[in-house]
Amino acid sequence: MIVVVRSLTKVYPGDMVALDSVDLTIQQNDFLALVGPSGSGKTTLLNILGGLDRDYRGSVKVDGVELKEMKDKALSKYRNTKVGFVFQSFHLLPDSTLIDNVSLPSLFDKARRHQEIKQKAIEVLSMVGLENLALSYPTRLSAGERQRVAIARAIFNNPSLLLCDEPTGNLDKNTAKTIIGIFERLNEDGVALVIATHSEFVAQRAKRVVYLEKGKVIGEEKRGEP
Amino acid sequence: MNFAGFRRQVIKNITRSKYRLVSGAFGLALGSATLSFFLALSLGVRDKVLGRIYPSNQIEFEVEKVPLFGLGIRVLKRIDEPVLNAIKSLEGVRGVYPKQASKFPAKLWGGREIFGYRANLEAFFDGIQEDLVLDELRSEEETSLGQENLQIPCSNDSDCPRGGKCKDAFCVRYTYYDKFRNLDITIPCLKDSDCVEGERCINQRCVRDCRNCGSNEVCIKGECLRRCEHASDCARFQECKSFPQGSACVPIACSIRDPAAQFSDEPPISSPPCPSGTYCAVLSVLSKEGFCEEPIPVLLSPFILDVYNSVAATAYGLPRLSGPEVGIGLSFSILFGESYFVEDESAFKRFVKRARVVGFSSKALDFGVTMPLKVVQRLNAFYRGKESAEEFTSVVVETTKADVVPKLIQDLKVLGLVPTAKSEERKKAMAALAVLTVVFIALSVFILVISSLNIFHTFMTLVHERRHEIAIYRAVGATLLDIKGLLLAEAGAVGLMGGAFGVFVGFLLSRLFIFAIQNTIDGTLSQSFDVFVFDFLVVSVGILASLLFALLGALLPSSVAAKTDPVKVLAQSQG
Repeated sequence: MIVVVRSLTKVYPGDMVALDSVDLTIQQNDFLALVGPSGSGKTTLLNILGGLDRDYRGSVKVDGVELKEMKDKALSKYRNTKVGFVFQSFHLLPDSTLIDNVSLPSLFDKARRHQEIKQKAIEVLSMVGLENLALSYPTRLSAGERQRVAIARAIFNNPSLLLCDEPTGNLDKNTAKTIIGIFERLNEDGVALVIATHSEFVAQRAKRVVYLEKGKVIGEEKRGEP
Repeated sequence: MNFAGFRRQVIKNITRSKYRLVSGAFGLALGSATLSFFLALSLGVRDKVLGRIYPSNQIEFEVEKVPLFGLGIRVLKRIDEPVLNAIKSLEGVRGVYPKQASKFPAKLWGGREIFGYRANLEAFFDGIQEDLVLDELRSEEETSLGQENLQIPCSNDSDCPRGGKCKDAFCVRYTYYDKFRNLDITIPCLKDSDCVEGERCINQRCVRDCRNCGSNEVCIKGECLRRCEHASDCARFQECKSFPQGSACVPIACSIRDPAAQFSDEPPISSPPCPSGTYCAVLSVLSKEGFCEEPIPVLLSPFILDVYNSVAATAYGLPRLSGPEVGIGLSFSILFGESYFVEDESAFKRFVKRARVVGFSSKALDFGVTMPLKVVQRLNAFYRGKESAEEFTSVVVETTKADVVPKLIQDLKVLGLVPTAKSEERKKAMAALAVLTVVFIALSVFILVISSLNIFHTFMTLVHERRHEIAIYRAVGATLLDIKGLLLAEAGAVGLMGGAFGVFVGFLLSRLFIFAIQNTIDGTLSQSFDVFVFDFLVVSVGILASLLFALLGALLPSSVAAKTDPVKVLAQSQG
């Protein structure tokens, strides 16, 4: 999957410019870190890339298809199958078990059978090392474990692009290392990663770093394999 | 959306919000209970009460009477065979059933087995075609009497002859229908004009004219009789007798020792040489000679029972009768040609017959006794001449559908016929019922509207509480329709459960109502009395109304949920 962003501008009500003529290309297997201070437009860019926000100027094309021109059904399918979100606050459902949280995307996917869904949920939980807690509830987990559940949910439908908003922001350094390790494995498996972060540690592990400030791309840095 | 997952999610949502949803469903159940209760009551009153008295597709007509300014009335037309044929040819007419009132005096007595003493009354009669009461008698018999297998294979009622019903793949016919039929009783006569068309007077009794003999009949001494080989080919009161022309069924001749015995309280129904269930009917009060006959089968109106219970039983300290079934089988004597009010006929024109009540029908005469039409016609011909037997008092017209009745009334007006007072009462009763039904349904709908508002409030609260969850659903691929669907399915389930519970409560209330009525009306009501119809329609309407109002209530909240902006909500909760 290739995402091409051209002259992307996002203005919030009150003329607050969140993104200003951003140009960006995300290739398959990319591992991109968006670095910038709070309010630089990182989260806004992720929301637009993930199809959650279509109110923008400019162009965001995924495999040649303009996101804002997609109908709700097609865009929902894009979010369901092509993209995975990982949020800083995890956004898990507190009264659902890990297995139900992880398999949530399957609820909106007609093709899956119950047994198949369950097996896949166990599989992705084991990828993040939480298969033993499959029937637990998120409230009983540590922050690191919750973030691993959020990652498992994001990769449940084998997305091509993983959008992560400050995934280690609420975690200690060791846990952050574990999480980044998981991301690296996913990237090796062919998943493109876009991670918005303040963390220098995370940025160092990315293949590419894009610096944002006041909604503008102020620089880009390519790095070797971590 | 994945159906199994969707179903699980809906159940999960209902389970976790159960207390809120139960309070929402309570109103729906109340509305549904009220709706089903009143709907079942309205249908019951229409079908079981008014429908019996005034069937919606049967309307009775009589000749139009023009008042002559205090000088009586003038009748413009008469109902006779050509008029009946004209009615039959009208569009939408399924059946035409003439009625004829008696035009002769009569007295009756009997009832010792019920009242404990002999009751003497002036008697009034009318005659109706047996087919008119076929279905009505049949439905009453199903609960209490036996049935006859017609040996005709069937898959449904329409495969069976009229009056038959398909049961266990064979047509059956219930017994009392067969008993309300013309029995060819002996009618005396002096001349041919004393007999109806198709009969002539031979040996002082009306017999079938040989000109009308069929292939299975034989003409014996000017009388057309049915051929037979054995006695079993003939009716109970006949014998198979050999003649040079062949064997034929003839009435068994009999005589009585004392003509005065006919006037006893309870003349024996079985008297030798007449077979069991028949009696010796002599030709006049002075005669000793006659023929064996079965009692004339008659119908009574349930109205008579009501009058008896409410007036006569109280006035004379007699036992109250619990239901029509008590009166079935009651036999009594009729003295034709005598009256308490008018001059008696000559002795030759006075004779006694026995009669037996074979059923109760709302189509029977309210104050009198209803006989098979042919019997009344033959009696009228004897007392008032052949012509009088050919003129009918009224005609019941059965239509294919209830909605053709207005046009039928217009068409028959041209023929000089107007609906009887009873038919006008029907219109008023139906209109009153329709108004009451609308009022009660409006009340139920009002309750449902209020409960729909409650559902709206409940779901708006739920949407607000679940906005974070809804935003996550959107982020992982839920469409607008998925979000709406989840909420509406939840509301639908609440509506269905509330509706089903409501209908159940409505049904229980109806049982309570019937129980209370049966215990209030002094035990005179039949145990099978039920004025409610809880059929598929009522149950469906009760449940579907609840479903509909639940969905209406949740419609706006589901749209609000679908419009949840995931970016905003997730950003807020990221906080």
